[in-house]
Amino acid sequence: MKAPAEGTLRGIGTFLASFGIGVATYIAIADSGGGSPVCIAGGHGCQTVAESSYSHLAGVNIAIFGIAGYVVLLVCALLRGDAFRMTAFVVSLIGFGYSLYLTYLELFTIDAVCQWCVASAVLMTLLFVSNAVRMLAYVGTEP
Amino acid sequence: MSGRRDREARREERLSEEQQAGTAERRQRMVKLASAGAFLALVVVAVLVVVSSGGSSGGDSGNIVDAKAVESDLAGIPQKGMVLGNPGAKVAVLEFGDLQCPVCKGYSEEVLPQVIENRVRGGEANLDFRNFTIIGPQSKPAGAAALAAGEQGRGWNFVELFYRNRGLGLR
Repeated sequence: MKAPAEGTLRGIGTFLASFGIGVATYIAIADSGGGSPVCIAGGHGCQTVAESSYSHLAGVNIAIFGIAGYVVLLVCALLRGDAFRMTAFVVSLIGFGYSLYLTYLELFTIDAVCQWCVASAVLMTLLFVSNAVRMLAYVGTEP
Repeated sequence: MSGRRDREARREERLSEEQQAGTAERRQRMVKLASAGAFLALVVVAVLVVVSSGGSSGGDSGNIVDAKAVESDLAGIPQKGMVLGNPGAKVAVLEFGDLQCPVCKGYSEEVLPQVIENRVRGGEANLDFRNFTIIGPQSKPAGAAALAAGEQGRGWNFVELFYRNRGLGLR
């Protein structure tokens, strides 16, 4: 199967990373105000997840790490070259792996699901797929 | 003339082959590098998981907040089991709560202090806490600990202190 044009993959990456920055920024702002994100579908899942010990890593809200990751992915999507293809692949793999772990925690440890976290996990999964395709199809193809 | 054209064609073909071989070699090198990057990424995820789960191994009793405030709120009010206040009061307020529940925490911090001060302390009403464990597996041991504290006449101290520290102690 022929891979999509690299321009298309970079466009997808730009869109997804921008969206991810928005989601992670909302979670971080909600946390910094001493509250928690509001679940649009209702329920207390977002509050329960935000108040769990897993929402912070070394005292820092994990949404802050999320923002940093999405910003790196956005920069990599905007720029050409092997270094950016590789960085995007590695960073999105880290984000995807950690999102899987967080989703597992939500389902089996915290027993609450936050739709903002799910949205971020879906975005990170799509970013990983598009960056893996970009890396496999186009790395080393230009001097 | 024809010999010269042939030589040029062969040269171009050779250059093209060399270029293709170079590209393939570079691509192979980059894919190897990406594999190493993927391995590194998985190591980073494993470290993050270990650091994250390490933080949830338990609270530090030194981090408990509001212990004095809870002690002061409940000082002088009788407790029996999970009942706070005069057991023969005209009004009994039953709370069905989960110690992990954020809304119960809000109720405990924002509504109960006035009720305790204005209605329970004077003997007009009493409060009765009942476990209604719905949030998760940790709700049950928390509720059981509250009942155990109740057996020692400190059930409401435990409940109030637990709510005040909910979501804080493990961060």
